Amino acid sequence: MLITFSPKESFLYSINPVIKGLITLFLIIAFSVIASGPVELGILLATVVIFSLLGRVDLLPIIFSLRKIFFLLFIVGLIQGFSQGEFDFLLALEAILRIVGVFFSAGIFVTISSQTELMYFWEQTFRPLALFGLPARELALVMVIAVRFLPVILSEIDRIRIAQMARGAKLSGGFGLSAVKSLLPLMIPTLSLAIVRAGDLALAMEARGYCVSRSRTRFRHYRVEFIDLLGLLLCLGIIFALMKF
Amino acid sequence: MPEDLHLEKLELFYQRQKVCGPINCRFSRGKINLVVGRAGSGKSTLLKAIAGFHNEVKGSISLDSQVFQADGNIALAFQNPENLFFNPTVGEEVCFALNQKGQSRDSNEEIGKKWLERWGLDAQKYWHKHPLELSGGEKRKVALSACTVLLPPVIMLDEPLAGLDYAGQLKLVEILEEIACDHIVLLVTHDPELLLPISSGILFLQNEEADYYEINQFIRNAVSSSDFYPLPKWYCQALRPFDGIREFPMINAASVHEFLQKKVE
Repeated sequence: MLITFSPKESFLYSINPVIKGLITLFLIIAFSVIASGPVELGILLATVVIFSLLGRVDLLPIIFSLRKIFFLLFIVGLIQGFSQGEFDFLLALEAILRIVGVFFSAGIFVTISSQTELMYFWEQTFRPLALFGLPARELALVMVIAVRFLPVILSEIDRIRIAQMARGAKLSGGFGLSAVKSLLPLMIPTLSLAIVRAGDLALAMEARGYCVSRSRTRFRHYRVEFIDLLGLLLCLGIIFALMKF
Repeated sequence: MPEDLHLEKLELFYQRQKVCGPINCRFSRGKINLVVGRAGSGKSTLLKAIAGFHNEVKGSISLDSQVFQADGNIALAFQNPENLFFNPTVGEEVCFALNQKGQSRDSNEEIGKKWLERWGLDAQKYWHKHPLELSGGEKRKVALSACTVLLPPVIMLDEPLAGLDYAGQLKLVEILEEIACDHIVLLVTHDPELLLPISSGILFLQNEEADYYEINQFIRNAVSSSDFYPLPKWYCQALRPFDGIREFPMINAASVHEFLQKKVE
């Protein structure tokens, strides 16, 4: 189960993409750096989950994906727990909640944002860079293409692995150099296919009139509505309230 | 070489929904083992489960009474040959499995070329071509030769007849008959009539159930009722008069053609 955009009709989905991005950014900052205990972090995480459920966000792929970082959570929990000599469960829980909170915030943002919205968000984020002569739009496009093609590349790796095993080839694992050596037959075709795919994509974009030097019009216009600002203020309010708590 | 592959109370699931089962049957070497059923009945999923690519499975698979673990001892040619390709040339595709075994590249190339020729493709002409630039039938032949070049103990082919012309289909039957002498061959198909003479039995998947039939019993059921399994009309009409006898004569389009030619002469 991959975390990807799953379209639904709800207030969370209809928020302006830049505001969605800002809310996610504030939540990530809150979970990462705000000095609070596990209770405050737990309340913040619960609030995020409740709002997501009210906004009809499918949380199952995010929960399933959490299993992949289970080992990381365990290690971080251990390190933090033993950071002051004897094992402190609350410290371990706090560290785990921080990572889970960041993971949930980013996961929910990806789930409720379409490719066009993500593109718009990155464009607006990179906009200040244009002042220094950097190609903000192109950078945004690169970001979106990279995010868009990550699942494609992952499924391609899986396809190649299965295609190799289907021929009676034994893909030995091992450790160190042998592990790297066993990955080579997988990585070389993946890389070469990714380059071929990039060429195809460039051709497809040019065939539809894409040109780096020209300025483009926008099919969808996103305006910041009152409800968007209300959402942003609500998010900031909850974070500040928990800081004071 | 192993004697048989035994499926015991094997149940297949897809996203927690039951697809098929319980399957109880024994696939043996010597002759081909056919798997038939309507689209979506779980034929391809069964092959993937045996190959270890599908994990939503209950029950057991054993090879010569030992628990079967697919690990370099299977070959599976997918329904879509393009899913097997990841190399830039036909030669590299055919030799991939041989090279992984660590033999010398020169001898592998020689073996690969011979094997490709065996499947009816001119090695000189196709060796340096990109696999995805070939026609449907040629892709199928390259995929089949790339999959079977190592000849592991269990060979599974998913609809290998699709996309092949009649000469190619006859060639496939000829090669499979030879391979089946020493290997366990499982073959999924929608056109079993060409393969019935060289098969030992048929696993028929339908309505989430699986039944194993002897060839004669399968033909008898299909000939007496088209609702059982839709074999071609000409095939059923040609065999219907023999319904009373114990064993059906094995026929195919070539034998019918031969018979008609004799009649014309």
